[in-house]
Amino acid sequence: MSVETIQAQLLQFVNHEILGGGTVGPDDEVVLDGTVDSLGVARLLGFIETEFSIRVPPEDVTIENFRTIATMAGFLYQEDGTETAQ
Amino acid sequence: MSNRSHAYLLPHLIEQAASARPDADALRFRDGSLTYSELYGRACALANGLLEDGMQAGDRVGILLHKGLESAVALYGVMLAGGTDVPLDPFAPTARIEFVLRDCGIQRLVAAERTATTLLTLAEAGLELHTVFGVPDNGALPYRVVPWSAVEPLSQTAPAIATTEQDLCYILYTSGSTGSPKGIMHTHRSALSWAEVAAATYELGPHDVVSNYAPLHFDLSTLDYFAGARAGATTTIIPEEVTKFPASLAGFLADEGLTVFYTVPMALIHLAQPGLLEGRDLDRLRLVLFGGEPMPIKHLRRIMELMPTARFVNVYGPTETNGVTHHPVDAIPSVETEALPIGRPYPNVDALIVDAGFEPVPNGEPGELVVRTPTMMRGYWGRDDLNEHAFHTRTPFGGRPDVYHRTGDLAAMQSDGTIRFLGRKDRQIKSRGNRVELDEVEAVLISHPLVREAAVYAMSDGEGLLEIRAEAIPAGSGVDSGELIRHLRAALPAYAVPSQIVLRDSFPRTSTGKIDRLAMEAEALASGVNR
Repeated sequence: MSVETIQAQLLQFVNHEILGGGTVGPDDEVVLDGTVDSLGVARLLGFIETEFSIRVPPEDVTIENFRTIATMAGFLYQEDGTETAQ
Repeated sequence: MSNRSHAYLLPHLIEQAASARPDADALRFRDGSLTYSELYGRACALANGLLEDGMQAGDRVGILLHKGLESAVALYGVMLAGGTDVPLDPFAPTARIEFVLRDCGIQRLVAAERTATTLLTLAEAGLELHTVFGVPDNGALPYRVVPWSAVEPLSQTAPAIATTEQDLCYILYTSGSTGSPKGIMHTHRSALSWAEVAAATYELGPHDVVSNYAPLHFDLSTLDYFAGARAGATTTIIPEEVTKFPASLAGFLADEGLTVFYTVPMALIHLAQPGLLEGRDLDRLRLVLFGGEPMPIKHLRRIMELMPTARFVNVYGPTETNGVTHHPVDAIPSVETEALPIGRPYPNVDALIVDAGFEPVPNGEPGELVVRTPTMMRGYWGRDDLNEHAFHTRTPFGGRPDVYHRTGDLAAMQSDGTIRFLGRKDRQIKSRGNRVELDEVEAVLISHPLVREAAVYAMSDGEGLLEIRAEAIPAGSGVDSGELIRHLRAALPAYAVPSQIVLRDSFPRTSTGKIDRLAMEAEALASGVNR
């Protein structure tokens, strides 16, 4: 899966499912600005697991990896690649 | 600076600490810090700025700030000017912030530059304010604007104000069952009593580094700020985003060398996930306090193993009363333990478990927990309808009335003298530590023009915590779950908004035709929505 596809699906989930029709962009700091709260983070992780079959280990659920939708997509793309390679 | 021997107002705590240990850190946040002397000086300057601006004793001043050092300056500055703090949630919908500002007649705000959009929306909504402190004066707002740069040069001597310990020091707004938040009024005496009992009970001292997990509008923060100041300890404010990422929080606890961590069960449950705390240096952590909702035993066992140097204490007390009871967990509970008790009353607290006629029930029997304590609120702001039910006056001897607060919590006294929490008399719940009135969510949902009927209930998330579920019967077509979620998000804090709204044609009913929410909960459980 391409990084663009992952990003598009994450954006769709945040805007449609979490916000019920939001206008978040890939570079918005959704957690820092409060758009996504801790429950939202948990829902995102659930979505990532079912949608991309990636279980993000707790130690990787950090601000650095989840700052924006774009950083999340980049991180997941890498994770996806690592898993496929194994 | 005076050597005040008798502290009877909250700001006296920082005045005393500034006099005893002026260069000790009162607060830390990210790379910054404020010593007690700096905190006291800056708070006095803000107080003088507020008075120059025409603020009168007793005025409510809104604090619209994100977690940070300015929060503490604002908190004490308003009190030093004789005012009442009203901490607001900067992440709340603007409509909710506007409701609070109007409800208690706020004329002045201390706000963050980051809230510029909220401020502009409030102005466009026609909200009248006298002054906004703490934001740059760029001419965008129809209010007087006083930036921090204009406050800093002001006198750092406390203004002379005739405030007594009976006066209000803050109002905390919380979910209200009729669809609007209600303001819980605390006095200097009630807040100071809690600071004193907490500092003494947990032997807080100048060498403690106390966490601040919750923002100011959440009453968990009162222990961090006020008991911390009472002890002359350092309070370390945990950045908002760190609280949302357990891996980041685990690193923070170790790196900051915290000795006291006060939080909600959810945070501990998340920290106990494998790979987060193992190998971290947490040896300085001596005390972990948790409260707000029941802590599941299986998670408590794990976190206690991961933080072996810390004593764990279950803390109980509604925002209306501050801490009422606590239960130190002196050994890792066995697997069979059903639920953790909320424990025994703090000193200076009279806690009774009573029946509907306000008669104490026998030990082991369920009843309502009622409390008489100097730490309890004055009442709900402008809500005599609620105040009538929130208090019960008993006149046992010689006509001297004792006033109890009715917590609405159901409890039972156990044979070992500890109290067990059983649930609520009404439909208030705690979801991830946040207090939510299900009836408020329902009232907002049904206010949507395309909703005919709505039912909101809570069910277990399978991990021992509660989650909010909502179902609605639409009035005609053209409405979907997303539209209703947007509607809820415009009025309620994010934690009170369910993750989806189930639309259906009819609801299960009781024999009298009422919506049967218990049946709906059973249906949802049976369909395995959480599995």
